Amino acid sequence: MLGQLVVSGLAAGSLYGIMALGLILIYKTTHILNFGQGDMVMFATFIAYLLLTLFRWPFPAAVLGAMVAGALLGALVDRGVMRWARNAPVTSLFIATLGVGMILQAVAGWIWGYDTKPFPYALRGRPLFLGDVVLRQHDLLVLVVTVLISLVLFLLFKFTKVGVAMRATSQNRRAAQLMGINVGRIGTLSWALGLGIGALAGCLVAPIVYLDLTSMILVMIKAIAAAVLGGFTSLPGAVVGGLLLGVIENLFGGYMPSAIAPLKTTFVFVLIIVVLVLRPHGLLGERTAGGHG
Amino acid sequence: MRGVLFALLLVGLLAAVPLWAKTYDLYLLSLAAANVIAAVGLALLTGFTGQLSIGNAGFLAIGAYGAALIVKHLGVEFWVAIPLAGLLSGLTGFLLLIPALRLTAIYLAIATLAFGTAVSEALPRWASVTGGYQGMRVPPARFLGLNVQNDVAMFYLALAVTVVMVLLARNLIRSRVGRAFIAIRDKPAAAQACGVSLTRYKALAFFLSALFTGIAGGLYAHVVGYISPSEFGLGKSINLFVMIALGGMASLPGPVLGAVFLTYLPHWLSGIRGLQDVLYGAALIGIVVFMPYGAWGFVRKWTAPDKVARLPRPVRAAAEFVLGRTR
Amino acid sequence: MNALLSVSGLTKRFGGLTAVDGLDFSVAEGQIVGLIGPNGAGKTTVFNLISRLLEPNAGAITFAGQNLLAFPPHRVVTLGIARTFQNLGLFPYLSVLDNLLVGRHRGFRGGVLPLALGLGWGEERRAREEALGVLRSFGMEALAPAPASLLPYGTQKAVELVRALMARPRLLLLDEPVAGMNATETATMAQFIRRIRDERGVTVLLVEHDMSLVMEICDHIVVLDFGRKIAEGPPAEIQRNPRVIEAYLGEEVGRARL
Repeated sequence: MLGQLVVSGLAAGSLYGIMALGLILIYKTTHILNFGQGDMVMFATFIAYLLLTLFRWPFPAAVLGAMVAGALLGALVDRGVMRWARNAPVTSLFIATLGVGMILQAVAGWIWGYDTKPFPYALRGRPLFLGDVVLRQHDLLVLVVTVLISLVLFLLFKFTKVGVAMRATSQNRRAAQLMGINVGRIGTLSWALGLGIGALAGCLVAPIVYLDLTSMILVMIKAIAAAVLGGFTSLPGAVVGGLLLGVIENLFGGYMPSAIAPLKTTFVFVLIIVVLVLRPHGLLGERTAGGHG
Repeated sequence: MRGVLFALLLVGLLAAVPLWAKTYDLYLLSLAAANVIAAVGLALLTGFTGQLSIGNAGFLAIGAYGAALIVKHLGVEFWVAIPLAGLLSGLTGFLLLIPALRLTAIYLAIATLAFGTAVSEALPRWASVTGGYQGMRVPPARFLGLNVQNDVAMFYLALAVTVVMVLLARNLIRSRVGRAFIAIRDKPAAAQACGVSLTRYKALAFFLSALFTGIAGGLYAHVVGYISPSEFGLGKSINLFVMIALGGMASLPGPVLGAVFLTYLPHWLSGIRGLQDVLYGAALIGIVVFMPYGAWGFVRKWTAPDKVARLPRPVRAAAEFVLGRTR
Repeated sequence: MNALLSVSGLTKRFGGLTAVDGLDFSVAEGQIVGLIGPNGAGKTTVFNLISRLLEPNAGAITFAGQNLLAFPPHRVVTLGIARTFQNLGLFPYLSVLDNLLVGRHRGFRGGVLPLALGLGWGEERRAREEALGVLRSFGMEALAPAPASLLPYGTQKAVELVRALMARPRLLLLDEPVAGMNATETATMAQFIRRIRDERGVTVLLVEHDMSLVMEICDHIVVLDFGRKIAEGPPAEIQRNPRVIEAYLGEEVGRARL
């Protein structure tokens, strides 16, 4: 029982983790909390749905298509909306992302209607048995993808010019600008990357939560919670936070009496508060030096 | 002085509304009033003290359910129950002080989100008291034994409560309390060096915010007459946040404008079938782009002395009279 | 002469770094004392320890015979210690007058409920008059309604100093009062600090990099390097002290290499 709960918790948690990665990529360079992420990811996932059902693309191609669509959407949101609201305080920018989300929801409603759609699993083969733990192939894929994405991002930030520029921008925007980094383009890139990864998360989570206009929102809230748990500026923190969140949620749901078990979201949130009170910048967040000067 | 005059004029005009308005208009205005109080409550916390909250719907729920349950089970009348529920909510506000003393920005926002989620998850599961997902009927309002559950009476009640609450907030903001709030928001270390206790004033900010929002909840419950858990979820918390950000959160006119606007926007848009969500979203984006510091920030910007001086003569004279800047 | 403030064995570590290391010094009543040292010597940390924004790892701070470490940060000003900040501690969105009123925050007596009911006006008016009076005595009356952030940098520094005076302190901690100022502004500030000491009898402890100012106005100087006191004495003596010269020279050489 314990092993099973942990393994399926890890699978669910890595989805929160990937989703959180998308959020943090955007947050780190632009300081915008993209509260419309759920809606934007929903839209990109519907693109995958379209490619799968209408054009009969194979699953990997459809996912890739959704990721490209997500990246384009991200760039569009940055250039088309966020760029124009540059002077607004970050609290207002967060409302602009909410506005974009509402528009996307309406548009998705027109195109795809309001009922819930089934979304295929990536791999539907026979589940694997590890001792008494059952692992669906989809879950295995999710875990592998999480590791791969983390690795790709790590290499990107460590070794590529763009990655280093993104890191510099997130640490000190003004200084990065003075060093000749085009922070505007870095912002657009972060949006594209953030939503591209978001789209991938969307395609992997859609088979589990099904696809409709609002199914991604709860996932996004959990992703925000995971990101905060890990420390809102840390990419490894997002994955660690997501995994922890998934496992804890699953264990609580599995072991608590049925009267309390449905309160697992509350439990997870309260736990996050406790963690934050002990570690105010999350598990892996950067602690800025205190004091003045 | 002129400000007081205009406020009196506005309240006078509003008080005359029932002479010609339809009951639905009165109902909408009463809803707007409840939203105004809640928005002012959030502005005190987030706008003035800088404590980000996306869980204030939890306080709204405590106020609404509290007021309804107090009337139902204790047999007191609603005008006693609403302040009591507000007080109950205010005391709950102290709960959030524990994270607030350690956390800032997004981390604190998540803690408040947790509180809001806890309340909205607990409500339907405590069905024996709250009526579960179905919600519960709020007992009709009685004043000294008289049934006053009608739109006109509720409107006057809402107007009176709103005026009182806004005045209380205004008095506090213009006193050392308001200055201490802003000091904590902008430079906590300097605030402490000036003798402002972070613990005390953060506690006060959370208490006041929860008190205002709780009273708004009690009022809302009695205006609407029926409450259910789904009205007090994350969506409502964000709605409140949008109100103060759109209006201009570090001011009093800001949340008032934002609350009224956001109460009416869905009704203005409801005529346009299919497009309403798009327009709603576009309105949010448009306001952020064109009024980055909210509606009140916009008004302040365009009524700054140097801007007014550039207006054509008759407009300028009128503007200067309204603003009380005669030369 | 009495020691108004005395610090003994004060130690503060951040992780592996010891910012302040067993520091002893005292400030006599009525003096202007300078705390100097190369960048990163721990001067601002000392200030933050005295104003209780940081908790020391070891040591004692006594102010006017009381154990300062027994008080929370917001009570320090009530005891009679006010301060300014290196990067400006003014509240940018408040007017100069309101900033000064925050400065005398502890002077307000009214409770929250009476304030909410609008009963605090008498006290508020008296406080305003007092603040305006202080501004007037420094010739800054015209600044009262201006938002703090719109003032020139030098003026903001002066306003912050006046705000600190609103608490009627016995000891004033000034963190780099003339940083970023030109020679004229520096001279004005020097006069200003002297005036405060002479007219109001306020003891001053200041951190400053501008050596001409320090040598001109300080009665006594404490020199820090890597969190330790390396010298102490009147300005003339400090200027000749080989260890001080070495510490500063080291910094100059280090800079030249960069």
